Amino acid sequence: MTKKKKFKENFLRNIPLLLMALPGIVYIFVLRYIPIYGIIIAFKDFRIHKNGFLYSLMTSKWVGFKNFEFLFKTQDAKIIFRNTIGYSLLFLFLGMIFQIIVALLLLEMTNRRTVKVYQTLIIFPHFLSMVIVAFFVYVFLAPNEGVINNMLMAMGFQKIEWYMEPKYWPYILTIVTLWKGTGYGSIMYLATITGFDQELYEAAVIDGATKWQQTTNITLPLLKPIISIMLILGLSNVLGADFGLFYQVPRNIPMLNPATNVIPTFVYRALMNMGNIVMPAAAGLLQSVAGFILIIVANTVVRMINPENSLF
Amino acid sequence: MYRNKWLILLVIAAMVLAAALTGCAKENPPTSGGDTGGDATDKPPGEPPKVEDLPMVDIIWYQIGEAPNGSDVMLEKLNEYLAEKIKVKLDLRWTEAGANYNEKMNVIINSGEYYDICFTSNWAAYYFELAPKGAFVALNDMLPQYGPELLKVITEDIWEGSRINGKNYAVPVLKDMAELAVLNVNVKYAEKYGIDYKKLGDDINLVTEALEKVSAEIQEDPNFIPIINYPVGGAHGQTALPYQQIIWPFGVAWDCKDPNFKPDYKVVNILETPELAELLNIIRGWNEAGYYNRDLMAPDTGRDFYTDGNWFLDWYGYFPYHEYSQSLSLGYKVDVVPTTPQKKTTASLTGAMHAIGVVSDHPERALMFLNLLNSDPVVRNFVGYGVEGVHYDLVDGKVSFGDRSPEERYSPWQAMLGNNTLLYLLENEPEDKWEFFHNYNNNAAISPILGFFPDRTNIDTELTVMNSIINEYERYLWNGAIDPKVKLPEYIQKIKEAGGDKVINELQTQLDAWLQTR
Repeated sequence: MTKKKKFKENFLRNIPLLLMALPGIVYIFVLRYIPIYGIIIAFKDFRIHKNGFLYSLMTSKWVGFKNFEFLFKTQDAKIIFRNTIGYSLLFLFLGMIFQIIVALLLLEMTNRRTVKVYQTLIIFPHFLSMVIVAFFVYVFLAPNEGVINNMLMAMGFQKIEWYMEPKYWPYILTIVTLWKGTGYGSIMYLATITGFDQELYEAAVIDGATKWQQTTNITLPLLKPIISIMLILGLSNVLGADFGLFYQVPRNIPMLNPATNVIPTFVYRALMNMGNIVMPAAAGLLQSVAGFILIIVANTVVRMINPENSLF
Repeated sequence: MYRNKWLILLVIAAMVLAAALTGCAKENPPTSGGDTGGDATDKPPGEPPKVEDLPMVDIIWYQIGEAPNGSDVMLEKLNEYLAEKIKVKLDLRWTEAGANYNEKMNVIINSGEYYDICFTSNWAAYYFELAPKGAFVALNDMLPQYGPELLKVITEDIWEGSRINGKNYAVPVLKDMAELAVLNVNVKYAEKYGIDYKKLGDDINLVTEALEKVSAEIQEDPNFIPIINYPVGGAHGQTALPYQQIIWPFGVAWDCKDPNFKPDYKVVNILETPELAELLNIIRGWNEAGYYNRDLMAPDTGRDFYTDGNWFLDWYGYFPYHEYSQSLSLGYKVDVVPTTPQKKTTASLTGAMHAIGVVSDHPERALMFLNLLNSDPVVRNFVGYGVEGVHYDLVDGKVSFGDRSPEERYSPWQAMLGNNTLLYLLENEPEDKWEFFHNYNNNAAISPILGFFPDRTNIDTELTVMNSIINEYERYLWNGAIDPKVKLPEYIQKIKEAGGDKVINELQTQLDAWLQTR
């Protein structure tokens, strides 16, 4: 049977299923794929024309990479890119370790009620807006009324000007991120581990394996595929950063910038008082393209090591 | 092969679809009134059109400010009047100020959504950003025919403020057309500590002395604030400097206190001037002495200092007679001390305007409406006060709210709506309010570079990077939260590295060219 014939047969047989998928395909094609065309705006000197957005888009002048220049022209470009990539990788790896640990700990609890309570408590921060988190952090770190400074002074230490010293902020931001994201992120691992074949563990117990040996020899190896998929997906966002975390939590204080300036905060400050839509588009495109390349590279590397663990 | 073919097909399909959509947008302009500007060509130019011949059209007007209570009732009545007068049905859409209005208009304008009139200014729906991009209709050719009253009501020097390359893209709202930074004084404390507050505007050292005296109050009332600073950062101090900005921080020297000042039209970085450093040092001193509200880096608690009433000074942007209205509504006496003469600048003349969108199908009818809004007291008082007898009563020609509670009143953001001098007076306002307005506007010191607005094209990248640096430093420099001795040189250095000299050269070239044409 030729390929063509086979395709036709398959097609005819699956018509009902294809019809069911059609609305979704049309939806994604119309709302997700066609608008991609609009990314050319990042390479244009956008002028507004009477005949509507698409006409304006088509007739605007091409300017090449001019709209990207502002990202690299600043003296801080090095710091901004270093911060963005550094924090992303740190949060990705550290977050993953903590999430797995929390998932493992939760699994060891036998009382279902306490598990529910713990789970709810650690997932809760995920639903808080960064603006509110910024208030929480301020309550702890405020120069005079802050909880931590009061504790330090009560113990006879000097108080610390948290909002003046960039050197503390990598730690503060990491703690906030872990506090906020660990509970929610651990759900994925919890669900995966719950799905593992229990007979493996029973067999191991009979052979006299300790909890630790069970974890290192059964759970972690079985988790490998999901870990590598999460890593590949996580890498795609390496040039992105949570705007709220880097803008709201450090209160946009210039002294902290060496530790807190990332691409989204820079773009926001650069364009906040303007009606420019082109430069943010350029910054967003750069982030997406970099993410896309990283996904492909990471996936290729993973596939070279072990094809089963790759995403595609 | 087989897979590649699919891919190519997909790309082609996407392109065809996109092209088709473009075509749609071109061929089907929304026609709410059934007329596409044909009336402009039928008449001999220069004559206002005859109302009987005009078709009825809808006009969509986006205005800044929260929708006032009873806006629907007002619109219904107003539309009856407008239908007769210029055959227009007005659809007035309010949007709250701040990020809301900005973002909304930005999306509407950039995406090409239909509207006829929108509020624009140098601080919201950025006129100088959007007009050069072609968002608004140039009015100059249409004005004699469709806006004759506008040319009479709004004087040439006001039109000049928003002119870009010889074209006006918006109708300025007549209000206080000069800017002035004043010190709002809570008189209660001035009297208590024996401070001659009227003199505070003469010398900034007097302000420091006064703050020192009055700060003794903190012993009695720990919540007392000698001088208010807002968490968003207020830079009214900038207007006290003997410089006129073009694009902050670049500008030319101009001492508005000296009527015989001869400007040298040399573009400088104002940050590098000794006057700015001195002022920042003084402000830093105020902060270190604890005169500002405590903990400037704290999140905005939304505390209403004015309602609390335990403050002494506030560096504030003036609106003529606001000392009267504030004293009345707050229940304690507030007075103002000007720190400079009032100034007419490009910014002060572009604080509120109405532009006609390039997407509008009947710009000339929109202009006719703006013409009426700014010259016909009936229309202006409709949008300003609502319906007489429903939202307010006229007692001896003045507006009285009677026993209507504040929730029952129709209260829009009045000053932004249109020619303010057409408004009825409120019952407690002095008779000479508009006279005072005219004097205030006419006696203003006029900026030497009034009407100059630079073209950003060649320096857009540099200015964008600088904007990021400015938003980093300004807020904390102007309230003394960071030490200017350390941070100001750092700030200046960063501006320089971001291309400060290139921007100065470019601005100088443009300014010289502009001076030639004057």
